[in-house]
Amino acid sequence: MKGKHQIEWEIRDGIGIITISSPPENYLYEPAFVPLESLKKWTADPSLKGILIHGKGKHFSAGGDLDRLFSLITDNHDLKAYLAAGTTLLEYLIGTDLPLVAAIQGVCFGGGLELALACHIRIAAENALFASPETGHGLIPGMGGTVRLPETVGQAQALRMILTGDMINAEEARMIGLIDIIVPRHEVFDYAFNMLRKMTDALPVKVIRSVLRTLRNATTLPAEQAITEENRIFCELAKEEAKRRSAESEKNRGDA
Amino acid sequence: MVTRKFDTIDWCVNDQIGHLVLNQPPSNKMTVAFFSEMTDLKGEITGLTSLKALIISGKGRHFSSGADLDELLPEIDRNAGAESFLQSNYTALSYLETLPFPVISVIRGACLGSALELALFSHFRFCGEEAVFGLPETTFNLIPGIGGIQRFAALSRKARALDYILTGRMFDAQRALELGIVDAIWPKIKLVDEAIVFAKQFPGRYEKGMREVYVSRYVRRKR
Repeated sequence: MKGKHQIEWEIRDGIGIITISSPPENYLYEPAFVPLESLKKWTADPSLKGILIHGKGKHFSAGGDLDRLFSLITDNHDLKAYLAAGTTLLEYLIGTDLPLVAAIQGVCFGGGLELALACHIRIAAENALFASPETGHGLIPGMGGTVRLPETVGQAQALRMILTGDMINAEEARMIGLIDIIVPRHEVFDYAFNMLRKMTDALPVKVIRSVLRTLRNATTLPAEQAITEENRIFCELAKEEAKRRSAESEKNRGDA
Repeated sequence: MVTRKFDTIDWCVNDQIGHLVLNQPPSNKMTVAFFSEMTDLKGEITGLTSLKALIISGKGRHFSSGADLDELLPEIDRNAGAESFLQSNYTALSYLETLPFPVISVIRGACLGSALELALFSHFRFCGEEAVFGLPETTFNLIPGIGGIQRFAALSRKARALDYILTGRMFDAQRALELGIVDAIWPKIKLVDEAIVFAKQFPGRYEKGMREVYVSRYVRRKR
């Protein structure tokens, strides 16, 4: 089993970098493209302020390895649990409440697109291509794509992409709201990395997570509960800030 | 028809249009007293179902610089019921969103922090060319706490909301228009008049699902 997960991880200046490393296509070996335990260990670093996801080489990811998927079905494998593990992984990433940025170049298909859709921000190179080709194989997007794609681009465009499986380029992807920013091909990683740095550098981890948590609550909790949570989080931060300020003014008085 | 007098708010109804003015110039800071008076006013405004529109603005050069942190933070720190205090600040503003007639914020000058959150509870936002926006809370180790995160993201996309909220940086009127945070830019001197023109051609009840249609059909953009 060794080597089946070709995912690399490093932390650079407080930003965690997930690299899909099975070039050229960067197929995801299975829906849970990295063991949840590894991901938990990696993201446990308390100084982590954001996560960047990209593919090694020319492409982001061509998606799931369908040959392997169909061979598992004939093996009578527990396919549902197999797919659920991928969904759990994406939910875990979102649940870290750290900003997730996908730096996309080349192909971003199927499961690769679903991974990108789980991110808050998608930066794409001019040469990026997007597709949701599952229906062409008699399948549907199986890792949240049927939910996140319409949330992101609206029902009409999501249906068109999923039913036709047609590929769209970066310009069209931006027009329909699938991606946020287009940059030259060689700049996509640096742009995404610098954007994450700029957003998070000056802030304590707790404040970053509070913002992301509040944003997430708006879609995962009933409205009333989301408001109560927002109140609680604000209150907690405000009390800390009030204490910090009064300690500071004490200190200034002492110094004077 | 003129109604009650408040210390921090100027409130009147004229020709079936309610005018709510934040009245603590020059910065129109949102103080504890302001939130309390907004709560007092809530029942009256909710009862005025025949209003054609509600227009919210700031006295003088600015809409508002937002909550008064020097007052708010100690209040939260020593208040055992701080969470319900904050909850009542939230409901003092959030009901505006549910009113059956169009609620329009008219924004001149600064519109920062809680003031932008107030404006985001209105259905439409018009601003002057010199208006400045921002949610700077994170730079004080806080978060926008009155619904601003979700509403900013809903209007402008998650990516932009995170960018502006985490960096806390300000943006101008043109950028606000591109982000979808405001619906039109007008010379500041004409703002209230434009809001009244808009309100008068508005067809009856405000319905959330029709927002974009109303904007494209009835909001005259500056050219």
